[in-house]
Order: sequence, then C-alpha cells, then structure tokens
Amino acid sequence: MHLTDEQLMRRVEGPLDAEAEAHLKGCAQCRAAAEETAAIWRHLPSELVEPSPGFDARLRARLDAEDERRQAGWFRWAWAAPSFAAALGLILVLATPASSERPVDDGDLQMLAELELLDDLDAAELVDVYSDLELIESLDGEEG
Amino acid sequence: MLKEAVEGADAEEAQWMAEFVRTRDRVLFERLFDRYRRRMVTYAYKFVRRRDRAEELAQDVFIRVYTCKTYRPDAPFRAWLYQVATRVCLNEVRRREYSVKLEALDREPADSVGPDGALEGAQLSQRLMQRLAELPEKQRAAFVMCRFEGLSHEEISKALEVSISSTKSLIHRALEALRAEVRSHQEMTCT
Repeated sequence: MHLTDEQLMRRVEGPLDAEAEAHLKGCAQCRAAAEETAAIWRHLPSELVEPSPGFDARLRARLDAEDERRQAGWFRWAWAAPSFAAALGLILVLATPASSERPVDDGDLQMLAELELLDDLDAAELVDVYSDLELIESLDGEEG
Repeated sequence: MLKEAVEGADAEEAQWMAEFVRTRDRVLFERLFDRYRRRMVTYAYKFVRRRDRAEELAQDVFIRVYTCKTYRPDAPFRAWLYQVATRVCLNEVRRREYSVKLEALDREPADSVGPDGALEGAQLSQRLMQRLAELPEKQRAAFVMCRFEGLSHEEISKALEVSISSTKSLIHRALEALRAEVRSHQEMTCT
C-alpha cells in the first residue's frame, strides 16, 4: 500500500510512523513522490502578502459608505411608508365598484324596463325614437 | 493540540460573527478583520497574481462579511469565510481574462541570484507558480487552502461546496500536476 497524499504532505513537516517510514525505505515510487512533494513545499512561497498601507483606511471608508447606505435605506422607508399606505388606500377605494355598494332602486328597475322595451321595437320605430331624442336635445340646446 | 487551538479559535470567531450580525458592533468585526486581512489578500493573490486586484477582492470579501444579515453561532467561521472568499475570487477569474503568464513577480525569491543551485531553485519556484496558476480553478483553490491556509479537508469541502472525497481528489490532481512539473524540471536540469 503506497503512501497517501496526506502522508506525503505530513512527511514534509517530519517523519511518519515506523510502518510508513519502513514502507518509504523499500518503495522507490513513494520515495520519489515524497521528494517531489517536499520540493513543491520548498519552492512554492508560502509567505503572506502584506496589504499596502492604505488598505485598512480604504476598507473603513467602504464600511462607512455601507452604513450610510443602510441608514439612508431606513430613512427612505420611514418616509415612504405612510405615503405608500395612503396611496394604497386610495387605490382600493377607487377600484371598488360603486354599484356593488348601492342597493338597486325603482329608478334602476324603470330604466331596465325601458331598455327591454327598446329591444322589442323594430327598426322603423327605433328611428322615430332617436328622432324624438335629437329633437329634445336640440330644444335643450336652444333653451340653454 | 494545534487542532484543538484552531477549533477553539474558530468557535470564538463564530461567536464574534454571530454577535456582530446581531448587534452591528464594529469592534467585533474589526477583530475578525485583524485576524484575516493578510490571509484574505494572500488568498486572493493566489488567484489573480496582482496585488492591487487582490486587495480589492479581499475588501469585497470583508464587505460581504460586514453586510451579512444572518449567521448561526455554531457555523464554522473559517470555512464560511473561505467559502465567501472562494466565491468572490472564482467569480472574478471567470469574469475577467487573467493571463496565467506571471508578470514580474512582486518579490523574487531571496535566493534568485547566487550559485547555480539557487538559480535552479528560483527557476523551479517560477515554474511551480506558473503551473499553479494554470490549474483548474477548484483544484487551485483546494490546493491553496490545503497548502497555504492550513484548512482541513472538511473545511475545504465546505468552502468549495463539494464532498470530502471530491476535495481529496482535487488536491490529489493538483499535487500530481505540480509533481510532474518538478520531475520535468529535474529532467531538464540533469541533461
């Protein structure tokens, strides 16, 4: 059984247990892998990159901007909420059909009856009715 | 012992983070920032290999931490932070065309001049960095977290949002590629 990646990586830091070390002595393939892994560890620089001097200040400025944006968001909401509620209320009032609130009265029934009567008239009689209506409208216009 | 210390620090950081999200006390955020500012710049640098861009990405990571709205106190902080950082960095390298050709490195290895052996060492160092930069994104991220950040397989799997067996496979393939680079370099210098 060859050494695992974990064992090869751990061996860079120090010897493994006796069994693994014994295997390593007798296995050229694992020895080569261990040496190559050690070379990778040696030659890939692991130092941390030091941020430039302005790094902290730049971040704090961005944090301040975030705080301002958050506060501005709350302010806008606090200002807009009552206006939004009023607008919503108005829309609801306007959108509600008035006829559904008003009970049907005698006038409505009479108008419906007249409309049904109009349906029963033939074309010639309808012409007469419309002529009468136009005459009444022209009289209204003269009176005005 | 070291593992216990790391786990203890992780639990403490998770509590700071949860408390920060609840109270918005910037002192708690600053503690986390102080601990990870260099690590985040270094981590981002491994993806973009430009210090200025690495700093911007590290700042993006901290802004995401700062604006986080929910955090469970029992969530492991380090794995979560690297998950955020990995998302930011992978998003960046997918969005922009980053040349894998290494520009003049910020800092040449200290032994880049001198005896032949040291020069060879510097050349191998360059080749390995180049190869690392060419690795597929998740292989690179897994290897960097393992080699440079000292994260466990479990933490890496959480950060990359993959299974532990996939994490091991990613690290294995990255190691294989880098070992092949070492072999190639040795063959070249032996002839």
